Amino acid sequence: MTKRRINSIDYIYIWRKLKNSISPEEDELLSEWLKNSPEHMKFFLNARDFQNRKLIDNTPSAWINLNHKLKQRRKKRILVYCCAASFALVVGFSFFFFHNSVDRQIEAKLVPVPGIDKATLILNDGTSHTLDKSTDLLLEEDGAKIKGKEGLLVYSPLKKKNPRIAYNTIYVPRGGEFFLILSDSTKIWINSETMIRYPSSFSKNERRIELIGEAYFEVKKDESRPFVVVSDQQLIKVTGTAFNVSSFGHEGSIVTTLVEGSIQLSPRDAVENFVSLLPGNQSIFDNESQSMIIKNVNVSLYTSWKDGYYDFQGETIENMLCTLSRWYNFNYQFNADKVRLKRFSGRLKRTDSFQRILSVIEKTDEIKFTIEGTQVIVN
Amino acid sequence: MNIKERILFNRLKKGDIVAFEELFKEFNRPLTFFAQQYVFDLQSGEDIVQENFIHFWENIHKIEIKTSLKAYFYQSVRNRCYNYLRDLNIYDKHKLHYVEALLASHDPDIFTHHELNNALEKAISLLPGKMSQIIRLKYIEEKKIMEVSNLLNITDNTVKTQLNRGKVRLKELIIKMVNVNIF
Repeated sequence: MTKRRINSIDYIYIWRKLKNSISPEEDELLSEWLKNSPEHMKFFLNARDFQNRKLIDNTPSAWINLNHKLKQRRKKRILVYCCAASFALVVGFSFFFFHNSVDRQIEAKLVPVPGIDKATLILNDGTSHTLDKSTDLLLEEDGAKIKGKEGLLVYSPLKKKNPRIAYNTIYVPRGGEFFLILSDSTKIWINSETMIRYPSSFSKNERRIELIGEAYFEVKKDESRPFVVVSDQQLIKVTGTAFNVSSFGHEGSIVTTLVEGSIQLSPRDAVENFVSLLPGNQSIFDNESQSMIIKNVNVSLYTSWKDGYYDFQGETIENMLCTLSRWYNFNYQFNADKVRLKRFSGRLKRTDSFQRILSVIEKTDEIKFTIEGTQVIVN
Repeated sequence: MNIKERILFNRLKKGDIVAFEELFKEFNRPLTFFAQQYVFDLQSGEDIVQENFIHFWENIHKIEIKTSLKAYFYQSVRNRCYNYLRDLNIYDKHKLHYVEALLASHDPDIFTHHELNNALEKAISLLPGKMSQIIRLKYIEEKKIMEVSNLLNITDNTVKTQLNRGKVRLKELIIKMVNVNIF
């Protein structure tokens, strides 16, 4: 199976998605496109929410702002002329030095490697920040202080009366993971290729966030303010508990695994039709029919990723590669269809090199891999 | 350009900042509103319009306007929005988004200053007789509400109601047409 990269999309897909008239094929293309960039996701969410937004009348201060900008540009332009000459010299020199190192970087990129702590944070006003190990971020947004350091983003509430609700979005790309602590002290482990949208401080009666992808939640107990996780057509309501949600699973379904406490799970638009899960329960929610199946599972198989392991038990090689490809950021294809369903059990360490992971799998079954750059072919 | 605009434009060419301020204060609000509807982002919409004004002011000696100042500004802002979406890898083959932004705009005059694309033109012709006539007089022939009411011998309020209903009907029609084109 090769992954298609959708580079651009017709607005009509977005429009149809919002009007619930999108076909399954178009929907698939749209979600590919959404996954390509957090900017795409931001546009989509804005398009969805725009109807309800109040447009700000900027007239009084707009002219002053423009005037200010014009003056600054005039100053800058003079500076630019002066700098241009000296800059040309510097560029000439540094190009020579850079040339070699860039080559090396590209080379390194071509081999799949384990994921690292990285993410993009998009604030309410649209500004975005790249977060990784070396980030040292300190921001303040309505009602919350935001601190980003070493793969961790922490929100702490500021004592402020009636803060405006400001939405933040965090996007973790393929080959990344991130740890988030919300303003109510709820902890979220965010897996690769995942987006979460949440307010920087919660309202008085509800804590609501949106999730696309996979994350593990440890929700801070607060009976008076239920914590709500919306993913696609599914809605989860809890007061304090630990669970894992993954919307990567088999096409169009959302897999929720409850570790402790209890949760109420329902279709997004029919909250009254909820089902309660007990610890050890797993629900598989089908977005299209809005129905679900509940079974008992060994929860550690579904949550071990946050502790740095992948536990597989009788998992097909296809599902395994699908999971691994997000973390090691590679594409894969099968030379023969019957290999797809071969099953595998075992524990893999997430910090292990890609080569090691593949050789472990190769040892257990009559499967051989060929690696070409970031493409893995299963023989 | 009419005489009033010509005088304003000449002042602008001479670098009259007061003229620029007048122009800005007249157009900034409706343009920003239009851009925000187009890019679905308050800040970006505002920025696009600001950049457009800055570009206009800094290049005024090179700019020639054949239509009207208003048409020029709507067109250039539209192009900037279009580029913004293109950078986001969104295209708008059926002009659906463009028409939507146009119809959502609170400034009804916006119709007059755009080349009406085929869909809009066709949709107007599909409206019921009277409604189609009123929309045409107001938006294509650029008549004032009072002129329309005098011409058709109806009250101002009737014209206003018909215009509002007409806009809703137009939107429905265009959306239907866009869907038909593709399926």
